[in-house]
Amino acid sequence: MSRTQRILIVDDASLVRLYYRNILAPRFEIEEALNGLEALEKLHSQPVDLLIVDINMPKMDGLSFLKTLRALPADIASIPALVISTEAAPADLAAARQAGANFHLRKPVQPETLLRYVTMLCAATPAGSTP
Amino acid sequence: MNEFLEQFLIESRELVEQATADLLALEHAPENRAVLDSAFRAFHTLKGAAGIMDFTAMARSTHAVEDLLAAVRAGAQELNAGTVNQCLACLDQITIWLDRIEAEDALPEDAEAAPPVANEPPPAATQAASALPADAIEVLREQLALIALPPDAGFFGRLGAAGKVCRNVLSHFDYHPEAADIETALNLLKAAFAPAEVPPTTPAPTTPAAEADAASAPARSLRVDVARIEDIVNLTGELIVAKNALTHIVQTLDNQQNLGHDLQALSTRFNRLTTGLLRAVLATRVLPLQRVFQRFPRLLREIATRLDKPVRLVIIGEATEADKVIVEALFEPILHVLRNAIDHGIEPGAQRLAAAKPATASITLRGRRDGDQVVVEIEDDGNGIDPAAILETALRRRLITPDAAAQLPEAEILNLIFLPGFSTAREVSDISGRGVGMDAVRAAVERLGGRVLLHSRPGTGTTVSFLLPFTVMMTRVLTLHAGGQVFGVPLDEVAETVKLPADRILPVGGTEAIILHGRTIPFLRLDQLLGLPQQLGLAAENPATGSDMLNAAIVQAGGGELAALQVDRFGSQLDVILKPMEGLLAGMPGVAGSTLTGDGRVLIVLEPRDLLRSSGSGHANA
Repeated sequence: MSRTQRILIVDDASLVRLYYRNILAPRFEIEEALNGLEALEKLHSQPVDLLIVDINMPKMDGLSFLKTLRALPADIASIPALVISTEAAPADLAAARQAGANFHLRKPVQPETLLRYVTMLCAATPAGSTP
Repeated sequence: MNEFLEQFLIESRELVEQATADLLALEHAPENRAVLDSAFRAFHTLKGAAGIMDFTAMARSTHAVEDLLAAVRAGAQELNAGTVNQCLACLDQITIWLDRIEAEDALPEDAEAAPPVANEPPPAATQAASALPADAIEVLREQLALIALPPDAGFFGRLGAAGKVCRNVLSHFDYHPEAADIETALNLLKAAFAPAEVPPTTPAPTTPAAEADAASAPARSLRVDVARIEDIVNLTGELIVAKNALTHIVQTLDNQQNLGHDLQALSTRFNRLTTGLLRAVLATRVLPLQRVFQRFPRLLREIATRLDKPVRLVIIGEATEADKVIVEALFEPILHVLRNAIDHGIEPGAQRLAAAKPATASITLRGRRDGDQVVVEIEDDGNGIDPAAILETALRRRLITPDAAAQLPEAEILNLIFLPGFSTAREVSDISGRGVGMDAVRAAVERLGGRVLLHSRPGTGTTVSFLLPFTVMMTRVLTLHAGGQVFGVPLDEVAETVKLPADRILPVGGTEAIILHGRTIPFLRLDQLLGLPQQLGLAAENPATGSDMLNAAIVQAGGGELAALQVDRFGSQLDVILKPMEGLLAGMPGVAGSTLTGDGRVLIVLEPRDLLRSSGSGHANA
């Protein structure tokens, strides 16, 4: 396809962001945000193909962020989101789904697992080409 | 019929046709991925439609074929004649179901009892169905759960995101047609919310122009129920009848001051408009010849297999359009000519080899537009038609006397095959020679207002051409029996049919009249008007109606007047294509034209106004 997919990592832990970046950077363009609010700001300035979202974050947590996001105008609202968190009880998974997460992985995530799911969820379609 | 069911029928039939065409194409080009995908999609969509209708039997059989094709796609199953047959059998079953649904206006109740068609799916099929890895399936399941959540403010966002994920996962694992389906849905979703998603602060999205067009361009075609178009055609027909009446009145007014003049101008305009309307309306009723052509590859394959004569069908010009009435009536005649071509035209393998022809014979089915005509040609590369054999058969069947045969010009000999009862088949096969011959073909084509031409090139092949009109205007006629014969009268000319006692007929001067609805109208015997021998004892013919009841058609006599035409009895109503009278009969007064009835007889259609005027049996304005 025409260009590399862009991924926005939303996590307050810099180590986690770095870990993801190292795994994904060879194949994807990576953006980072420290919390939900910052992520929303970034999304308005440039479209992305996939969000990787942590749940427990200061200012605006992952679930509030996704709820807000999904109710925005269609272009932004329909960005797929992969939630990666330590919370993995059935109730947590249901809450993530209710907020609009497309899939949930449990921390810590193995590099090959991350790469595999991100690749599947992104496929090869540039951002902004569909709702 | 309920709209839902109707839509299901329309869509399913289209898909069955599509799938049939794809499968036949695949048999010759199994490696054609695009065609395989198209066939797969057709079955997939059929399955989906069956699911929506809760038609389990159909969903199950289409699902089995889908699995089979998935296995083919995954390279786990070979696509051969057997696989194709399995898929075609499923389509046959679906067609049977669809026919029943159409007839009974409901889903067949015992469809559950029908055996699943692809009943022994190869083991590879199951393997292919799970060609998606478990984690991908898990992701897809999660998207379904996401979509199924109760709607709230985030509903459309979730829907869009889930759709994108499904599309991405599917296309990642090479399920491109399915991914494209979702893409389409996503674009629709986007289009549906386009007006709401222009935040004033955001610059216009830099979507490629082509894509924006695809999302926002209005549909260029509509799917309209044929019955509605027929209604419009019929209304237009009635409008034209009214126009003709107006023209007639205007002519009788002639030069009665300015009124006549103004009316004439108006009438001319009316004339032009109705003609234009008719043309426009008939143009909506066109279909591509493909509609009928596409049924033949499959049939030809079967016939050729049964007769053990390998044949390749080449279809050219299937996009050529013709009136729906014509396209729908062409199936039988074309099929018959094709059967003849394979049965009689194409030589057995050994003979073809001896003649240095390719072992696989070829038949070309060609459609083209030629001015106002649509031409359909069926051309084979067989042995042509042997005039000597034709002559011999005609003599043997006593279709022609030896004297006449001796005088018959060479060019006329071939036309003997159009005689009823002619067949050159040495033995009656189950393919052709079943009593219907080229005479039936000719009758069918002539009924459509067309002609059949035959061209034979001895040793190299035969071409049968149908020359057909582009549009067809059907006239509804009522048949009448009078003087021992049957005639037609355009229904628009008939105001009423009545049965009245003989004593209601009043002598008026030298003629007769009846009183109907308080008006005195002339009463005439149709057999007398036509100079036919009178049938005696009319009333006795129909004892059930009493001793002296008479049948009469109340017809338009021109100038707004009516006349009663006594007939022996009334027949039925038919939709026919009127052909003007030709040759010596061209100027015959009182005749609108002729038509061929379903049983091949000529029906003379009368024009009552003209008939009454020319008979001098005066109406008011004569």
